[in-house]
Amino acid sequence: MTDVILQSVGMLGTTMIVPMAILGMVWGIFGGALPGISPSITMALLLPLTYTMEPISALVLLASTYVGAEYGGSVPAILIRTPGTNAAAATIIDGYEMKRRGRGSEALGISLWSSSVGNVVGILCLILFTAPLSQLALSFRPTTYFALGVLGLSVIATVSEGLLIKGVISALIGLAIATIGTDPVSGVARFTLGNPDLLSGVPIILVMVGLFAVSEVLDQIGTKGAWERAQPSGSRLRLPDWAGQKRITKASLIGSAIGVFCGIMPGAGGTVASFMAYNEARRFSRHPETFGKGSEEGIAAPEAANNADAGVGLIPLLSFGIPASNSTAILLGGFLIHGLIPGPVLFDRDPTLLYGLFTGLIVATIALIPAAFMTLSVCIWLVNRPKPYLMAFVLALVFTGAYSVNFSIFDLGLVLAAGVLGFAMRYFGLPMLPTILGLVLGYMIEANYRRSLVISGGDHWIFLEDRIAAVFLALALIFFVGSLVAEFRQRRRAQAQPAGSATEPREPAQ
Amino acid sequence: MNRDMALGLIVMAVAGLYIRSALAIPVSFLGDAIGAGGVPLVLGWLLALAGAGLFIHALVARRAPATVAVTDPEDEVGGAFADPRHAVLKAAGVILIAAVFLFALRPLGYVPAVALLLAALLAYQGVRLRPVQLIVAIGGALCLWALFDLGLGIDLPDGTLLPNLF
Repeated sequence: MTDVILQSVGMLGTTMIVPMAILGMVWGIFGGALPGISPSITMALLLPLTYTMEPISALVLLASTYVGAEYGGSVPAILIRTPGTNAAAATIIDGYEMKRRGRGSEALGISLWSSSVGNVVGILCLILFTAPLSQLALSFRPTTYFALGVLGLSVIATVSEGLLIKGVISALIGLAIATIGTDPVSGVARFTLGNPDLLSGVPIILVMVGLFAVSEVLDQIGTKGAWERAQPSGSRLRLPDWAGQKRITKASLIGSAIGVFCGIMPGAGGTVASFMAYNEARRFSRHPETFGKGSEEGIAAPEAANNADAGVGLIPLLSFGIPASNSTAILLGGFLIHGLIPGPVLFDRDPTLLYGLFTGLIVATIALIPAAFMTLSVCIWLVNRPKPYLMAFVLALVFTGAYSVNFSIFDLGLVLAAGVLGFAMRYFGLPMLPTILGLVLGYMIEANYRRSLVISGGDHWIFLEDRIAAVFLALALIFFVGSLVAEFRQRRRAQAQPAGSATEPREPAQ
Repeated sequence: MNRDMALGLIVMAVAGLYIRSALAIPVSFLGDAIGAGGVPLVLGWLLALAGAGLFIHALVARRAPATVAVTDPEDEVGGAFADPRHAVLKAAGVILIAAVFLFALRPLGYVPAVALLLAALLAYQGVRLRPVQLIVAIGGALCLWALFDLGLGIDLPDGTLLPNLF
């Protein structure tokens, strides 16, 4: 083991690991920061370029891009309320609120710092626990994945603001959209209206871009009066000072731990991790009332989670050859281009390659902070343009990015339709995050629910016979009931107060 | 009728359509006991139930003025909806411009279509279209084309009506 590690360190001087890690990190941040360009698209664009590279250089370039894009997604989330990546959706809640209150530079600094913490934790876990943790992930059955999906959805009970029933409606909308396409078990087409473009379902990234970005453009253009301008204080990136770091340490560590937990389970992913981290950080915060109003911890937790998840998310791929997400599927393509099949055999036969990849990721983590300073100024420059120009260019950029997914005009129609839906949801005060969560988890919940029942011959007790699944389901029930009770109590208190004073948001479930 | 009551009714109507479509999903011989329409049916009924719940909640809340402040949707919606009619009309204009862009993208090609989209959106937001703004629109379209087509290798539409310049 020591020889392998020393050999990997030696590769720093003899291979292109360092420049590729830095290049990948910068490219990833830039791609992640562009609305509509997901980490997987950012990586896929590089894939053809890696044909002629050394395998280790190609893998480091792709993996660093993945990690960089996870951070980059937070930049537009904070600056223009548009998540660059799915996982950055939770960062909008407090990130954009801080920016709106003139603390954009601090929000960006907190995001960068906690992303670095998440990266370090994620890559350490990747290096140290790949083999043993992959065993745990392997033991998960369809029942466990179903229960995990239900637990993820129960987060809506505490994440969404306003009435709980609106959060439920929003989640059901997401789940309903997720049923469009080919049935995961029988292969029957559902709700496709005879359109072959819908057979593979509605691409999540397109719905996200439409819900968040297009509806934001519609909302901003519909707002009367002067355009909101980015404050000068938002034109710099300010890392948190010592006191600031102490304030967000607990949230960063909670986020990192949840990122590690979700990262080892295929299907959970950075989006679930960041929402769960947000929820748990609020639960354990000394100031839960500040969440949703520009809380520093509300940025730190999801950012640490999605970056830790990105590192740990490589474990199933490197240990078993199973990609856990679109991005790791692209990385799998990087392996296959060079005739390599990731998994236990590769780990045994050529460990230097994998430890070289780990070394590259460490370099990329170190490069994150300077790379962020280099690339953020471009993003902030864009946000500081006059709003009519920014809105026009955001819409053009969104359509161009969406077109690049499948080169399809139909996809652009989907983005526009999602934008109209998002605008209507804003009008009716429906939270959008549960819709995204329902959309992300819909396939996993349905497919694993039905697979479990096929295994049990239709007996629902199978979900309680799996102990891990039973714990997940119990937690989901506790979250939901707890949230209901909290809402009921708040209403009782509100009835006892004068009407004008009862405007505080619903308390999180305890 | 307030917004929550209207939303409750809309959700129930959408749930009805969804349930009707779910019932029309064909049964496959390869299917399981739940079937392809099983989960959508459950979701449809839950959606209908939630819509009814919201409608009843809004109805009860309207009769109990002390709770109105907690549930008032004005507290939960964006700033654009301070004047809902203006917001909806403005948004409808943007949607129309975007829809025209989608239809024009293939025949016109990427650069002319995006330049027109940018110019139309700027004009719609009250920016006077002087030569500088037209240069921004055309230059912006060219920059995006250079970034995506030349830089990222994405094959953007060339256009079928105009001479193939890009």
